[in-house]
Amino acid sequence: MIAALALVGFAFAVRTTALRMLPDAAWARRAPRLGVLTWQAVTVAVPVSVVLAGLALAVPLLPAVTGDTTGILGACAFLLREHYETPGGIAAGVAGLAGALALSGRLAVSLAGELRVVRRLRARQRDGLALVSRTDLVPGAWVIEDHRAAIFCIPGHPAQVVVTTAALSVLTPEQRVLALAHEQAHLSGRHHLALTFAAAARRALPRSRLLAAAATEIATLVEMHADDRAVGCGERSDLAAALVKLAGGPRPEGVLAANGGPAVQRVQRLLATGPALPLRQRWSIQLGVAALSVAPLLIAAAPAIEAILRDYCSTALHT
Amino acid sequence: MKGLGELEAQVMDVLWSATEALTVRQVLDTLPQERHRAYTTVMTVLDNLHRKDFAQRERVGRAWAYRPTRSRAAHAAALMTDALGTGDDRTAALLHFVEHLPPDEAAQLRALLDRERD
Repeated sequence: MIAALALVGFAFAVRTTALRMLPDAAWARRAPRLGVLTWQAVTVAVPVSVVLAGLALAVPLLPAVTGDTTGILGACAFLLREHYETPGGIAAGVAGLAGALALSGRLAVSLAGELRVVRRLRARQRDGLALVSRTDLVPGAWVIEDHRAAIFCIPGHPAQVVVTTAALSVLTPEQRVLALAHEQAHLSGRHHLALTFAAAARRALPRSRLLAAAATEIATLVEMHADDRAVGCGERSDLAAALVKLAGGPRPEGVLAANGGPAVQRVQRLLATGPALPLRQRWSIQLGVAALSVAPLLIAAAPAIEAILRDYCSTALHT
Repeated sequence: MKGLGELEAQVMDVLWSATEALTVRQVLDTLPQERHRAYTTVMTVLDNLHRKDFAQRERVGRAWAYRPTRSRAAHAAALMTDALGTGDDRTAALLHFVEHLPPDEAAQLRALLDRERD
């Protein structure tokens, strides 16, 4: 009972703290990859804690399930039941188990659906564009004849960077190199996986403010990370200029305009080079991420660990 | 596998430059004769193109005759429209260099850049 309550309390505390401290955090803009990692740790820790809370409530059901009360298994189950006892008894156990299964099932189904949909969309783009692309104009990229300026990548196997003739004509050679390097950084950083997981979680629980904030922030931070990787190939101001050119042309038909997207922040960031995040701050954030990852398991296992310790100590004391 | 993809593009080019539906045999005869190609390979490629909805087919006697579903330009334009339109909903399907901004925000960006250059 205590473990379940502690887990729910932990999940709530992590959610509240994250929503207060993480969105638009200045340090995450300076170290975007660490920012993504932190958001991921939070969005894993919260649902995992809730699922574990449900399972902790269900532990007392164990002896009933095994039906064996004499063997080692039975003894273990009995011991566990004693330490995870709830006043709610069987009813609380069944409710906890059902809740845990429902939440994890929902997340799994959403993830599977998301993966299926993006894989189909990517295959369609890859197969279709392969028929009309030129490969001899820009090394490593497909060139598509189109009057709309666009550069994007299709993740997957094989991954592909795509650029339109209109985009090539508005960019200088330096800007072109940087824009393509940005897309390559998306692919080598496997940013699509981070985006897919975040989108799947958000879709599974559309009313969660935490998961919505995580999806939005992760989308912004992977762009900034790709920008940081790309500027290794040229000037920051050139990448900023490329962003402005492609984000700000006249809007052709069929193109969605993104209100308040990360483009403005990205340009500001490229023009004002801030100092790197101090090493000490990096380490403390990484430590926090590690703690977030193991804390739910430790809390869930605390009663069992306590039982083992108590047995061990009493044996040690009496001999 | 890469070879088959290349052949798909070549076969599609043949269909696009033809004025009428072509049978497998006609496609095979029109393809550049740089190396020997099996009839069944071309048949497989045409079947794939039909399955992916890039080509349509109709019965001509006992054989299938294939024609492109859309013109080359319309095919490319439709795919680009899909690619540019998916940005908002399915963020993870394709990763765009930058989203398209409304004019006021774009102007704000340009002002930022100009200030930097002065």
